[in-house]
Amino acid sequence: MGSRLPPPIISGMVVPLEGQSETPSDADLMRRVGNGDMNALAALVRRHQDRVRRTAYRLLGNWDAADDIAQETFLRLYKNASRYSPIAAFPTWLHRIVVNLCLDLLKRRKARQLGTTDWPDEPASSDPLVRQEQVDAVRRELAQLPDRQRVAIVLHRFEGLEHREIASITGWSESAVESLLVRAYARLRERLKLWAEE
Amino acid sequence: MKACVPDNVLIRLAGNELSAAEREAVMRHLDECATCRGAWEEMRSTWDLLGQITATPPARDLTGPVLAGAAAGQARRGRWAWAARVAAVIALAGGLGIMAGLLKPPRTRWASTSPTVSDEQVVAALGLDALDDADLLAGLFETEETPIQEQPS
Repeated sequence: MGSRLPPPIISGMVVPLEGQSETPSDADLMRRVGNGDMNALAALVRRHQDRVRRTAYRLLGNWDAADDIAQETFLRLYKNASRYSPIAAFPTWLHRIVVNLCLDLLKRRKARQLGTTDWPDEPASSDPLVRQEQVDAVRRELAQLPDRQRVAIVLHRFEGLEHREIASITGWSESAVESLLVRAYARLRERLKLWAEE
Repeated sequence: MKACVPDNVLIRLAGNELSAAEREAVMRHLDECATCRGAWEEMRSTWDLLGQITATPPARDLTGPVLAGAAAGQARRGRWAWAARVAAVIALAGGLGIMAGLLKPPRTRWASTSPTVSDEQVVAALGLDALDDADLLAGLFETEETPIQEQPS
């Protein structure tokens, strides 16, 4: 039998290959991407794009930059799909690409003497009790953290990842991650004391 | 006063990274130690403050741009692969040519195949040495001085 044609996209859904479950796993999709299946790539983008964009936004503070990073992340994923090994959890692998791209961008921005993060226009929480001023202060303090501390905080607090996972994503040792988190939380606690007391 | 539960343990407690037994032990200690309880409350306040930062991505689907970028990259790679194949063939042909040249028996390159000719031989061949011949020179002058014989009318 000749080579199998890629499954068609129907209403934004990827039709699973014969013998596969209804919802293909990330690893299945990655294997198909590695064989040049663009439908599988589209499915992965749709499945993970919001999370990737959010992570990049929290590290960069700008949605346009975050979208560029997210796009580049999926292109890297496509380029390296044939080398993907399901030993590493897919989200870990994806996060590793996003974080590395963001750190590279932050480094380049710093080299050009530009501000590292923008945090421009994200509206405050819908909770009327939460004041815009307070949210702005938290954002500002988060943006002013050294890059590595901010990466550790974003992955721990916002992505809900454990020390071990953060170490795996960043390539830093677990004790380095712990040290970064201790310093970052201590600094935030100190700087946000005024708001925390209210 | 310094808390007896280290910061890293409070961070792991906030991130729900402690085992059930560890969590229970820490919570029991917090009940008894006001200093540690204060440190934990500060940690929780910071944790909650950070939670107020929302990040709702603007509606945008990256599928189209990503697929377009992937297709463009594939085409680019295809072109490069083709160029690399052509370069490889040229390099191989060049290599074979060099090898063939090296394997041939040696011969004198750039040497003229004609016999060596001296300057004298060249002068003689052109008749230039005649210019030095006094008799010939005299003959030339004589020719000019020879009276012109009148032709009988």
